[in-house]
Amino acid sequence: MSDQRRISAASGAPLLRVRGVSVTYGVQRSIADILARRPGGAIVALDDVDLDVDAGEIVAVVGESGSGKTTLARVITGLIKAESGVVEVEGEGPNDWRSVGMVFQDPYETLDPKRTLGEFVAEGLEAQGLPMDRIDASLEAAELRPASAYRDRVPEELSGGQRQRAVIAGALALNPKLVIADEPVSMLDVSMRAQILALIERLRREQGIAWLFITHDLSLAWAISDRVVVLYLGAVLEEGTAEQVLRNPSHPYTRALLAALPSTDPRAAGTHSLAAGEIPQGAAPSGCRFRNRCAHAVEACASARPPLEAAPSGAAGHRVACFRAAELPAAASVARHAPGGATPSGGA
Amino acid sequence: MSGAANHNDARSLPAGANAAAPLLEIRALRVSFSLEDGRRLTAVDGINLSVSPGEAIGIAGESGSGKSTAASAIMGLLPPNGRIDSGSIRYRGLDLVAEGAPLRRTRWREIAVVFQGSLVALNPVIKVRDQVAEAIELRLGEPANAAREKAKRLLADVGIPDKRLEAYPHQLSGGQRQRAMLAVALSCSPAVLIGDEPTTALDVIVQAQILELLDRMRHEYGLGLILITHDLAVIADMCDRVAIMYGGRIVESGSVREVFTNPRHPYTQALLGAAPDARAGRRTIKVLEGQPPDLASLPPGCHFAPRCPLADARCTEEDPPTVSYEDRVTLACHRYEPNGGALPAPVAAPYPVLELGKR
Amino acid sequence: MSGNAKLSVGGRILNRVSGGNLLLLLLRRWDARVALAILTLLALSGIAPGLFVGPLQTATTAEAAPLLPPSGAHLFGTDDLGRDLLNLTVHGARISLVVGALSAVITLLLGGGIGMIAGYRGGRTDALLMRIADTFLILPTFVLALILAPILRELIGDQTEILGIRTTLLTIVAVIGVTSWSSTARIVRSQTLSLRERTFVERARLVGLSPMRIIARHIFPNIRTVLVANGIVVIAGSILTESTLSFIGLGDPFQPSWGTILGNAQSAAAPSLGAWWFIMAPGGAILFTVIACTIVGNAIDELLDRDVRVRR
Repeated sequence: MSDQRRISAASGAPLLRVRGVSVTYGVQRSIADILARRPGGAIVALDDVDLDVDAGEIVAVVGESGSGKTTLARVITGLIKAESGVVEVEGEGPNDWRSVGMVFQDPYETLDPKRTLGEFVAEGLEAQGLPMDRIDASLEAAELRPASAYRDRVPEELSGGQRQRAVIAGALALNPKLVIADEPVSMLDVSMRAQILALIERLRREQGIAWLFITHDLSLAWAISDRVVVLYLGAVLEEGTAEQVLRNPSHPYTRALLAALPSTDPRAAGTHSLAAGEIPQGAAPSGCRFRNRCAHAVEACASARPPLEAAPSGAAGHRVACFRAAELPAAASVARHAPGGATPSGGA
Repeated sequence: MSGAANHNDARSLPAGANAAAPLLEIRALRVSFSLEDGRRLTAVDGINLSVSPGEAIGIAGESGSGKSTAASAIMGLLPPNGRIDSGSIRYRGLDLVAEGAPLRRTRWREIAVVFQGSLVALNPVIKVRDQVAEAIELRLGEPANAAREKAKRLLADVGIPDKRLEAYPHQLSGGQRQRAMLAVALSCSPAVLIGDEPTTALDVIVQAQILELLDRMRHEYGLGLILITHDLAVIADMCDRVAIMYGGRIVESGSVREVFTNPRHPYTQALLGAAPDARAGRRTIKVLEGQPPDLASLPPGCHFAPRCPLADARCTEEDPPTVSYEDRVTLACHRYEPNGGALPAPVAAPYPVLELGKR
Repeated sequence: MSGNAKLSVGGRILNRVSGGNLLLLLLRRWDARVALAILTLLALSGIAPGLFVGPLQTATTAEAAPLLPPSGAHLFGTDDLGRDLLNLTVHGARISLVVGALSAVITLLLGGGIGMIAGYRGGRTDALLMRIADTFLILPTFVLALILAPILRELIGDQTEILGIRTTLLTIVAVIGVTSWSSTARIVRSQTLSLRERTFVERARLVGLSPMRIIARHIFPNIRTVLVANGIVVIAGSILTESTLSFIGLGDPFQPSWGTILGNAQSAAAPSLGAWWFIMAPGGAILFTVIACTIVGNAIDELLDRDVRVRR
């Protein structure tokens, strides 16, 4: 089924349609900069990003900090405006997005410490003029059962996992078709994570809710999503089904992410840093934005930005933005690396 | 570990220490906190742990497991309302609990720590090199010039390029700050290094770089490494032995290979199965119901019993004894009989399994 | 949850300050207990001074000899007209209380409201409101009061009463309120600025809650304790200002206030006569009240600070 989910789905509009979205943040100049008449810089947070999410689909946006993934979430929910590009939900522009919910990373911050869970869920209902009798149903849909036991509690009395359920209940109250979840489990204990993943999966199955699951954790993306989009410095480097992107990665960056992932499985043990350095904090390099960390970069990578094109795998929907994707060795040989920690570091 | 020039052997030990005694040995350590309402809460409940030079021990657990409190106790960094009730922490035979204040110096010289948030651990208004040099000057009493030279070498060793020596902490990236913290920690040539979630705030590629660095430093300096993390995969990658904590107790410990391939304690099984694994291509996850334990009101008997699918009446009444099997694995679980010390076969706990990715 | 202790990630023991248990937390500190006891006594004296010392003594009802040192009959001694100083000091509490409370209310309403709006709206509104606040911030309260008090008294007449409070007092209250709101506004604004960035406010915006509702629901309840701490400090300041004005004769001549008594002591040449108790009674009352206010304000601040520090 996911194979038919092409980026430019010919039949029928997707639930969420993002086209050519760009966001630039101005950099504040210090007094020294102003005195020296240095121009204020600008950081491109998102650069010409396309993204589709179909009804009932779970799409993972994977990226490190600084990749622009949180900016993308905020653009889609309308918290910030894109400079250019289109964001549509069910074919409509901003201003009428009751159908989009949002779950934030930090459940400790999302709930007002002074207000009860019932008041929290009621907030959205009240603002949208919906009936208050949905409070209990929403809490129970998020597996806070019985609702009467949770309605009057304040966040302080709840565990992190219960708080995140409450946040999800707040989103469910508005009957969303799509929920944007920005690192929804990264602050939770491992055992709580499994519970929340189970809840997300169940809500998709039973209520047909689509999720845009933003995460830095490839394993989570692998487990929960139908499709994976890899974001780096504001641009999509690779996308496709979870199998295509994470079992057969084509972009050197995706491969580096996967190789760096530690695993408890003895057969997969041993991490390796294939990429040097860290994600740049300032402006992205010219041409391919990953080239200054890439072991395979050649001159051509500096001159032009590689377009997002069909991956060498040839699988439908698998696309990669790399000039050298076709020349790289098969992914399987990269993902495996002999254990043993004494390998010298790749550098700083 | 392979006879890399071990700087610890060459150095004089603090008074009262014995070179033949184990590097760091923790016996029956109990730590409690006083609450504002007058109650006391036991955060660490009788743990045993030892580290040898060049060995890496992982301590894993969720919030409320007591793993960070254990680290604070070893470092002597308990908050004012916390205290060590009983047990011993011996460095080369020297009891750090009993000796008290005079040993602060020993502690800081011999046992170093790297925390998670390195932006707070570094002074924002002092250049990185000066912070490392300052640590060397203060703790080893070396003259300023020599300290600055040594700081430069150390920073180069952890991968801070020369041109960043004069940078302030906020000018460094997250990974570089963690490298600088490691340089500060190594500045006094410690024998034991404690990493308290040292890579949790970092991105996965940078985490791999820092883990590689930590591993190299451990082998080069023959450090005893204690790695405290919630991420079992990091422990699998880095450590020789592992201790799994729950509700202030070690429920299972042993070699990483044995514990991770044949997890016996139901909690270890849950923890290992709870996270999906993209490297291994595993999507199924075990769902552990219930909430993490509240240390202020722990259940009687086995603390894990309320969440354990194998629990019976005995588990909710009696504390499970910690039994050592063939000197390879310790277990605190009523499901396993002492057996004369022979390693028992694992009993799989029937957790609900969530099959993700099946559409 | 019993008590207010919680265990967080990393094993730190947390104490969270929420409105209800603020008083309980304060009562755990001995200094705050003493200070709160003093303030309670002050409040009771202000509300019902007759209960403690009977009706206010005047020059006509005074029965003792002038300038008697403290004794069993007159614990604080008597003044130059033979009035009991304990009687005068307890009755004087009412003025301090009224001035302190009203000034704090005005300050908190103006400063809190403007601070929250400036902090939440940001941009030009913020810039404009803060420039106005800065202008008031540099106005010297005392000099302004010195100039305004006689003018207003002349304009309204010092016998007029509004809601049972004489206009002279209202003048003092107005002057204190007008000059002290700006520092409150600055504090509230900075708190609001940081609250605005919190996820729960962002989320409220996202679901479509109006700015006024966000301020009422999320901003105000979270800065309430800050306002209380600030209000108490304002009370201390206004009691001092009122005492100073009354001391130099700009207060209400018909109501004894601590400042007025001090002024009387000055004009009766009490210091040179060696009548130390004449100064001691009102002076001590001012000192203890202001110190008590400061202790409570600081204690609340410290509790809040710990709350913030622990949560980060």
